[in-house]
Amino acid sequence: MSLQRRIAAPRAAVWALLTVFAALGVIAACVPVAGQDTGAADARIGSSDVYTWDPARQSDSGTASVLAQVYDGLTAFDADSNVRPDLARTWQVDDSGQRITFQLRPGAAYSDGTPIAAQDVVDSWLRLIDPQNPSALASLLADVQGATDYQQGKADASAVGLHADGDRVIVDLRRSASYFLSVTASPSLAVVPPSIVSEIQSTPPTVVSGAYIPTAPSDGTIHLAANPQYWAGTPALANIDLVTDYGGTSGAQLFDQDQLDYTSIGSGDASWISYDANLGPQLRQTDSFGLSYYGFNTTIAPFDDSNVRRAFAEAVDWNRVVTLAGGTPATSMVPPGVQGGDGQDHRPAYNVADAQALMAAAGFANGQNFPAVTLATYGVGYEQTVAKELHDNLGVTVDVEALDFEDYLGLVANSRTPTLWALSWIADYPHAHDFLGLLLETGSTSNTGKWSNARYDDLIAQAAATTDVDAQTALYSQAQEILTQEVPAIPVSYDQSWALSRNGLQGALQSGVGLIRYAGMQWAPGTGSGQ
Amino acid sequence: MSRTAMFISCAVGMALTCVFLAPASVRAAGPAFGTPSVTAELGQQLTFSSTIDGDDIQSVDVLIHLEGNPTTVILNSGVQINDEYQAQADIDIASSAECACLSPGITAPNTHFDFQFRATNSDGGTSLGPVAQGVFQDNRFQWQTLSEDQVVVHWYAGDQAFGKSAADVANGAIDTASQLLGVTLDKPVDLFVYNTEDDMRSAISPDRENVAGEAHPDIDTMYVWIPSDQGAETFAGTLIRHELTHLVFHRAVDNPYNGVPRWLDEGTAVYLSEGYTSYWQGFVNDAVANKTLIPLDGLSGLFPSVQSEFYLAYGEAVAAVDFFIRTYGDQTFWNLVKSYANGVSDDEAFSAATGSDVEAFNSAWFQSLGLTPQSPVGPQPGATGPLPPDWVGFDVPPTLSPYLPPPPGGPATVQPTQGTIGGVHETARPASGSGNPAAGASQSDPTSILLILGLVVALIVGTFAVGVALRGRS
Repeated sequence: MSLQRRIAAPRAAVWALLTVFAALGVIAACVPVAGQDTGAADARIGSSDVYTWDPARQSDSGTASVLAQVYDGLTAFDADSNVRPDLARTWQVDDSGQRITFQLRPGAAYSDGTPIAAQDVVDSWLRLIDPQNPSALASLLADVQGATDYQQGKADASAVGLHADGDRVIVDLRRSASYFLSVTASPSLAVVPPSIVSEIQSTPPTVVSGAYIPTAPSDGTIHLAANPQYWAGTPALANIDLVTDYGGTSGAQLFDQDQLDYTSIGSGDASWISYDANLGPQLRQTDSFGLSYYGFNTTIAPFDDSNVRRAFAEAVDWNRVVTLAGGTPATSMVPPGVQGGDGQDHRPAYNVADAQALMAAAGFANGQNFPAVTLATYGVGYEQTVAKELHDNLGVTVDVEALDFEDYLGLVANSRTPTLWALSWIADYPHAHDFLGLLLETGSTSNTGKWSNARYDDLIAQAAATTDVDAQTALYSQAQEILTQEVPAIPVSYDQSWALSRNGLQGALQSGVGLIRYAGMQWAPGTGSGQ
Repeated sequence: MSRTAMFISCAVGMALTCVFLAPASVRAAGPAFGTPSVTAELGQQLTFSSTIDGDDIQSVDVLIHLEGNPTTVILNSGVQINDEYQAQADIDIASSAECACLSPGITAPNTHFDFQFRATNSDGGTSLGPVAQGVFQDNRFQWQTLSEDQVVVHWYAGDQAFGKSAADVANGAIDTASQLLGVTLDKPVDLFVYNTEDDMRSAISPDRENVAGEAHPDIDTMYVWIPSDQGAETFAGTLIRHELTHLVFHRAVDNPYNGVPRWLDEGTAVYLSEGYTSYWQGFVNDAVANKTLIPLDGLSGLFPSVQSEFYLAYGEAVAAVDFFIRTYGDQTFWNLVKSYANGVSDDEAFSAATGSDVEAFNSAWFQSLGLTPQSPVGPQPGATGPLPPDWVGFDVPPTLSPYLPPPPGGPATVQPTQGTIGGVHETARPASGSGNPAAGASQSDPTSILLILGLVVALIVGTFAVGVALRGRS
């Protein structure tokens, strides 16, 4: 689970016309990319900025996608988002389903040759729930015995159900969390070499547990060098440049000019590329496990009243709003393809009359006496349209405030919860709990709106405890029916991601959780960067 | 000091127009705000400054509004020297307001905005400072200004006649587009005429090549470069008409729900500024001959960044508009365009105008050219790459289950997911682990794996045999 930074829409309101009377030069040809050094890298990949090199501090998908190359955890996701053994070679689960024992791979070592110890895993995980500096994604470990108490300063680290025993990591859970193996594949739970913990607050790590060692020149490029000590062998691509500054041009242009071998692109470019004889076959599409939703601060008026929240949900024709903008309307908080989702429509139906009646019941008939509210966003989309529909249908005023993504992260991390906010969330692990549990369960650090419902929590706990997939899905369905009535959040749209990937570049497959495993990439014989 | 290096702004009223929710409400006794100012000049970072005097200030933001846009762009004030607060950013204010995000880049000259400071205290309560106005300016030149009818021309090279010629071309274009699209501009358009391409490009689009002009409908401004020794009509008449058509078009279709397909927008601009000329017909005819005409749904988003397809896209756009008008008449076309103001989908708009959806229109257009629309060639699945040996050939179950690696030489095994979870026990380690293979070893070389497996099995068997032998001796 990570906040997901959106690719900013191209400036739709600006048109440009090339000079038809001037020389017909190449459009934006040879736009210099910051830090361009096409000679050294085996592959050049478009990337977002890295906001921190500390996996315990990261909480956005762009940073996670880079850190996943640098640090490994006990398990990992393959391209189909299946859990695979990573630093753990095997694991055992006891009868109760509440103790998992991971066995580290024999010989696993950091890039400097130092053996990776089980205690390093424990220490890395404890950093997420450090009571002095908890991670925004600390709730990933909420199922670990004593983790929440430790994070809240009610117990010390020894009370947390994380222990090292030789080359084994023993995890004691407070309940049988059937999805927990997926949790361990989250980039947040990666193993940090103890020798570099202090340095990664501000600089790239010099020692890594993952496939690549990063250096980050200040010219818009992050260089990744293959780690020869990597447990799966030295990656086939010895040097990768991550280009974070496109110099004002587009990923599609840079790809077409052979300056990038892989880049995400927006849907606006995908439409013409799909017909391009050269680029079309290199176009990739992924149904990501991403959800955009609007959340309410349920602890203060007026959104402490479920009538108001439901009125907001019913007053907007979300299907039409999202479809007209070219998106995929969401029907529940759980994206398609995520285990535990039932594929049903769990949103309150579009019903303006009922919405108005709900507002009247809450004391805000025709929007009278309703305070001006602020919708905080970093560009998730639909905000102005939604504000207009709410104004037209309910008579309320919603001010849209656009923040820088980093400032937005700070806002959420510091519990300065906006009254109404837009958020794009991509799963760190493909399970309904990642959405229904982490975002809405009582006490979860990612439950930004602080909504709480005992019956809902009980259903989530029951679902977590069962390994019967059908029973689990049914329990999540019941939980979602509560969401339909209580509306602590409004699911808005699901995400699709588009990318251009060079012919011959094998293994550049983005999983639903938004990760590509660079260690699994190689050029097919006869191909390569720039060929 | 540059004449407008600092825009000392005027406070307008009590600035209590924004009310925030209790308990984070505006406090009666908040900090004291000074008069805010902004540096908004090309070549310099946007810098907002204000003194704020208060005992409990936890954070300070600047709230920015693009004129005419309801979105508030928030800049965090990262600089504080005593009671002087500053917020700096390299952002495009207009684009930021459009996308409701902070869009990096430079703000275009003539962007008008208002702003105010906001202080947040330790309880989360907020206080607002006075509202001030600013305008982003290009102060590199001594601008002359001519206001005439629907246009305000700004230029710095050339005489009054030069400015007049630009105004005449612009007014003519606006008249034509306004009449056809049935809209009038509620304020004059600002037309900034640069003398050289470099001058213009450094003001609005430094990373683009061969751009002769840009229209920015969100700030009702157009930028163009015209050498002062040439008249506007002869050098850039078509361009000015094209870009100003966009401004009027944008006004005609503006709605918060969706945009108009790019081909319809550009096609209209080319159609009105120059028509479906032989120049554009050449691109389309070549594509028809080569069967590379791009279906219209491929031109609904961004136009191709590949050079040949970029020009083809413009050619196709005006060709499709021309076909529509020849088929259904010009009034039907203008009604189609205007219907987008109601926030309708493409299919709704076309069905209302023609009785059929966009795909049917596209097919009819292709058929008129003797073609069948091509199918997309992407997206396509990517090729898989090398995987660690113990990732291949079996799946780890999706629920909490023990995982045992495949035994040497045998099929992979995964424990059942339910009902057979045993007690904790040690699992025999595989005879060969994949952990930390030699540097450079192929990750998926089955021969190597089998060889290692064989050696280990042989070692075990050998050890066992030696043990038996020794035991036999004892």
